[in-house]
Amino acid sequence: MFKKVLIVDDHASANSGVLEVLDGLKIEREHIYKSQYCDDAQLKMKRAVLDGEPFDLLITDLSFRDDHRPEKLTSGEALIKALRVDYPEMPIIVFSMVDLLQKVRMLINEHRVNAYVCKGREASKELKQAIEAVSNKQRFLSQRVQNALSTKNNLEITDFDIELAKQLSLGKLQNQISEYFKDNDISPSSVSSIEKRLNKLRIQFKADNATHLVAKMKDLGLI
Amino acid sequence: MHCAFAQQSIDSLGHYYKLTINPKTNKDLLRALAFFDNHKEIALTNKDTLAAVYDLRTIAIIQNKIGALNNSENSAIEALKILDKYKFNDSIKIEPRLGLYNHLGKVLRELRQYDRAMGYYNKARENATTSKEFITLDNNVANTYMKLEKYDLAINYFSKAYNESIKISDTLSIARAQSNLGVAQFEIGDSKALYNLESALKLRKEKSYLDGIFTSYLHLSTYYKRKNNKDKALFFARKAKRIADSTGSTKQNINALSVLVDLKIDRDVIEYKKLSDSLSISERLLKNEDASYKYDLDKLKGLAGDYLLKSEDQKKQKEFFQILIALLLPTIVYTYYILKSKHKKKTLQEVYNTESHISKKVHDEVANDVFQVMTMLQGNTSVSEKVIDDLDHIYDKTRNIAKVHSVLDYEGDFKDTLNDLLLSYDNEMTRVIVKDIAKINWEATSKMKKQTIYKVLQELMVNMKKHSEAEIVALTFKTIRKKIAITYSDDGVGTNLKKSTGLQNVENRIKSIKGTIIFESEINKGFKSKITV
Repeated sequence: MFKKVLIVDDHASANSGVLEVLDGLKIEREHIYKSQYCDDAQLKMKRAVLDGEPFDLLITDLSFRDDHRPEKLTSGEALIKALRVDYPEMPIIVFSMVDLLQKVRMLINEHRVNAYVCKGREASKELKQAIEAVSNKQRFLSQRVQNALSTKNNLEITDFDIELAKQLSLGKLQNQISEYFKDNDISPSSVSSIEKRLNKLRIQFKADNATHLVAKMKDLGLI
Repeated sequence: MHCAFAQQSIDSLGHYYKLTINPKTNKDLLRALAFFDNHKEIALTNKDTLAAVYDLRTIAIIQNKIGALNNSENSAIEALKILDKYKFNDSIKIEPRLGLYNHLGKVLRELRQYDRAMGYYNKARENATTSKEFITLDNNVANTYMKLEKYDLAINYFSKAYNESIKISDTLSIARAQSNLGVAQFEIGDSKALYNLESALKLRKEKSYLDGIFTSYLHLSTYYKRKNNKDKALFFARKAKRIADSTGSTKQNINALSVLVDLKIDRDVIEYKKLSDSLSISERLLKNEDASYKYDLDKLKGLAGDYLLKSEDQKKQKEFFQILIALLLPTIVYTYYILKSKHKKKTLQEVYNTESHISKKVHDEVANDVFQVMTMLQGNTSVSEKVIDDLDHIYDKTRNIAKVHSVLDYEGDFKDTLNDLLLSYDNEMTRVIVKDIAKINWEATSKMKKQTIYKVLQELMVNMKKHSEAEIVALTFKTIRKKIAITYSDDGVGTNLKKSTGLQNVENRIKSIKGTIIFESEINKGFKSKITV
């Protein structure tokens, strides 16, 4: 488990939730440091390294209120980017209200953030899971942003799918559809690939069988 | 950790103190007021008496500046009370006591309670030790006598201040006393008046002390006006106005212009009126709206803490929750709609920019505050899950308001951005299905169109999640005669198409880029929409 933690968040009481989680993980309060500014956090980080007692975990928010202090690093993202240059292996957990998948994906893929926890109802629970996961060298994503790294193709259907459903709606069986596709140069046209595709569609549309699938697609105006 | 907090706090203390002494607008003062108010509470909890007294003193100064004289008096008295209870080290109490008594004198003078003002000045005198302090008090006492039109007494005290200043060779202090002395002497027709006014101006000029020079000009202008020398009076008033222009101080501007107004009537009068109107309006607005809005949230946080201590039975919790919502929702709605309505007439891009600005505020401030309250309550076992669930609901709503209006910072492919949006609504409960999103030539589509499409689909998805209970949502994209056609359909519970604000927004957005949108729905028959832009 981590020994020395830096929390970067400009909301003092959001910190209190984090502190409780850290308490629960038996991380001693005297080894928990807080910072309300990104610049300050970067300095603390450097100082700790110079002193030979580097932090082994960073928990940071993404957005910070503008303030009277002119800051070089104005967002958690900028902080992470800057820190990654000097400390490529530093475990970083983002703790933020932002739940844009693109942002999450970018932080994970480009800045190699180790976990992303959304502030919300489950925040404390998820933050605890995240810290545990990261300390076991695993990645963690909040439920809310789970999809950030899933393949996007899951969502998509194509003209082929529509044509397939149309043929089904005409009462054709799978082998008849295969024939039809072959005649009209639509590929893939093998029975097995048609069956495969149908299964995928049934799952996508939460349909019990082919008839149900056709009914659903009709209702949605897709065919 | 302690060190970090202290450093931040001292920095802010200095910053807000500067704002207090040298505010650019009244907003600065209110901000400082909120800061010191908060800081005082912390100091009191930490039993840091001297810090609390310091904070209250500053609060009193601010309240005086914004014209809340009675409050200012109360704050100063509260500070004195705290100071009295402070057991240790009498010597440390002297300076704050002096400052507070002096402040009370000033406030009461403005409240026209001259006797009480004098009383406080006398008490202040008991605590004064340095020449400088005596000089300040003498000036203040003399000014009070000026108000009482007891010019002889005023002259006595101004003279005392003047002589004392010479002893410590403090040029600016000499000039201040001398100028005041001149004004008082003029009242009794003493011929030395002009000499004193002019030499005070000379001293101030030597030190290039703008504020002082400004006061001197006004004194001289008044002097000549009463001597019926209108040209010279105007000459000095104009000089004062020029200084006010260069410093940009509203207060100086008002003073200079009011002197000019007395001298003649022309466009200066109009400017003066406009300024003073806008000042009183902005004061009113600041007092009534911003302050109350700001304190609502503070009140809320305080309330959460207080109430939890007392609330044990469910009934009270319910009541608490109602108060919470009653306080919270208006604040959110206020922030959002009032600010938004201000910008209704601007162009679409400006609207988007403003929206994103507001939404950042709603997101960063309101939503975060709600989250904080939620975190606070979660730690408390006496709070029912229901309350937290409901609070979570508010949190979600707030974030949705913020999200729907947030700026769209797609750096990469718009297709991916849009896909992500739709993907974020895809889960076990609701499957989202998309067709041909990649077949649209997004690169050739204008930014405005893309923004609108994004926001409209977002609004539809938010709506879907809130009301529809849909299992499947299907979106298809097509290009029809250079236009983008998007269909949305779900298998949810449908609606009777009474348009919610959400749908109204959708319609407005589409119309504003000259697109068309059709909604189609019936109870239990799902919801469909066809957009062409």
